[in-house]
Order: sequence, then C-alpha cells, then structure tokens
Amino acid sequence: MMWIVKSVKRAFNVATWHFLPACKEIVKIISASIDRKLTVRERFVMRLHLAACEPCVHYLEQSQLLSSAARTIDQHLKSDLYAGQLSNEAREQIRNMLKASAKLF
Amino acid sequence: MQPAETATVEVTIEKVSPIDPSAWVDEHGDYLFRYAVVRLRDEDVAEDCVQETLLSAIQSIDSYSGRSTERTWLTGILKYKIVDHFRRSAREQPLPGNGPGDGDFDEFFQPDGRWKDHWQYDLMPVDWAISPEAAMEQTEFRSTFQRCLGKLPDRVAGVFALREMEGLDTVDVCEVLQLTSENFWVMMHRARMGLRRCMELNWFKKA
Repeated sequence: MMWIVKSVKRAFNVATWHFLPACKEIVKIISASIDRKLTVRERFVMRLHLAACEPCVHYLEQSQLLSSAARTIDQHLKSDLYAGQLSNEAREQIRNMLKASAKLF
Repeated sequence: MQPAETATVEVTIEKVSPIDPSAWVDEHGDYLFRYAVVRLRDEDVAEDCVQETLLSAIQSIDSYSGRSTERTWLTGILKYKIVDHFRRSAREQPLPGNGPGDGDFDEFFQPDGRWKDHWQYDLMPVDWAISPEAAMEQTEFRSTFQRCLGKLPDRVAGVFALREMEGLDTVDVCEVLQLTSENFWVMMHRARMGLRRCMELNWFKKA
C-alpha cells in the first residue's frame, strides 16, 4: 500500500514542479504573502508548490521569522550594546544644545 | 516674604518635574540612538536624528501630556525624524534603474536543464528549526541580523525598515520613498532574499 501512496505523492510533486511556476517565481509570491493578501490564483499556486517543495517551505518560514525579528527588534534595544551608543562628542553637543534651548523656552 | 517665595518655587518644580531635559541624554540618548541606527544604518545620521528629536522635544515640551512615558513620547518624535530623513534622501537620489538580474537573484536558481528556475542544490534554504521568539532571545542572532541589515542596498533597507520596523502602510512607504507599488514588492523581496541568505551564512551555519 505504501508504494501507492509514495508514487501518487511523487507524481503530484513532479506535476507541480513541471506544470506550475518554478521556485524562482514562487519565492516572489511567498514574499508578497507576508505583505499583502494574495490573489486566489497566487494562493492556489503557492499552496500546491509548498506541498511539493521543502526549500520553499523553509524560505517561507525564514521570511516570517525575519519579519517577526524586525517587528520586535526594539524590545531588545535597551540592553543591546552591539547596536552602539552615542559618541562622546554627540553627547556633549546635544547636552550643550539642550542647555542653550532650555534658556529660550 | 520668605514663605511666599518658597511657595512659588514649589509650584514651578511641580509643573516641570515630570520632564527633565538635562537628563534626556543620559536616560534616553543611547536608546534613541540605537532605535535610529538599526533603521538608518548610519551612526552620523542617527546622531543627527537624535539631536533633532531632543531639540524638537524641548520646543514642544508643553505638548507632552504625561499620558505616555517620556521615552515613548521622545521615540514618537524620533519616528517622524527618521521618516523625514528617508523622504529627503529619496528626493535627493531618485531610484536608480534595476541592475541586471539582481532583482531575480538569478544565481540562486538553476539556469537551465530539467530543473530550470528551481533552487541550486547548494543554495537551497534549510530548516533553521527555531521559533522567532527563541531566535530573538539570542544576542548572536540579533547582532548578526543588524549586520545583515547593514549589508543591504540603501533603498532596499529603507523599504524594509519603514515597512517592517516602523510598521508603515505600503502606500505610505511608497509615498515617502517615491516608489511604485511594483517597486515596493520587488524591494521587499530583495530584502528578504538578501537577509535570509546572509543570516544562513553568518548565523545559522556558525551556530
């Protein structure tokens, strides 16, 4: 029985790879899926392709992860020294500027 | 005379005490700087933005309602400064034409044969097997992410920062950076392709 399931799956994959757009086009649809609502056709093509193509599934997961990373990056800024800090000159300059303006307002 | 004077001073202090501009640099300076630098990828520009932000803040100090924290209020002003910066630089340097092929990342896909336009075997995305939350807990992930953002082409990084970090609508990003919506999708796609490859090489494969 297993060999039947396997052959059907194999036939499905081959059909998907050959009759629908290849990965190069699909990754554009995957990128778009994160930013906007896909058209019915795009959704259909993407789902079929993802069922047959593991690297593209990873592409989708990675894109979602990077998106989420960008959206939450500020939560870590308080402690993240790698992101750098104001230089001493800038610090001094801004302090003086604040002092000068404080007198004006 | 003496008691009256004291009273005046106290009233003044009470009115001003929620805000203390002289402490801004020490309390919020580095946070604002980092907030700006991850988006602008340029320390000098980030410093200018922080300076402009604090100057605007001191000028509009009366508009601070005290309903949000001081930091949230300052960050709100900084957001405007950052968007302004992107708007200005988009005006100064109109979008260059697309370089040959780089929009499609041709080198990642097979050029011909039976598997034309499918991933090259050695460049296929692999399973990172980590949740977004767990990834962001890693300092190594976050610092590599920032370095990879730094490697993106200017305009591509700008689109990604405004959309994903600032959370602007597509329409607003296009207006600020003077893009067509078609340009926008291409840029976002380039950002993702560039970032994921960079992260795979510099974070995933090293871990």
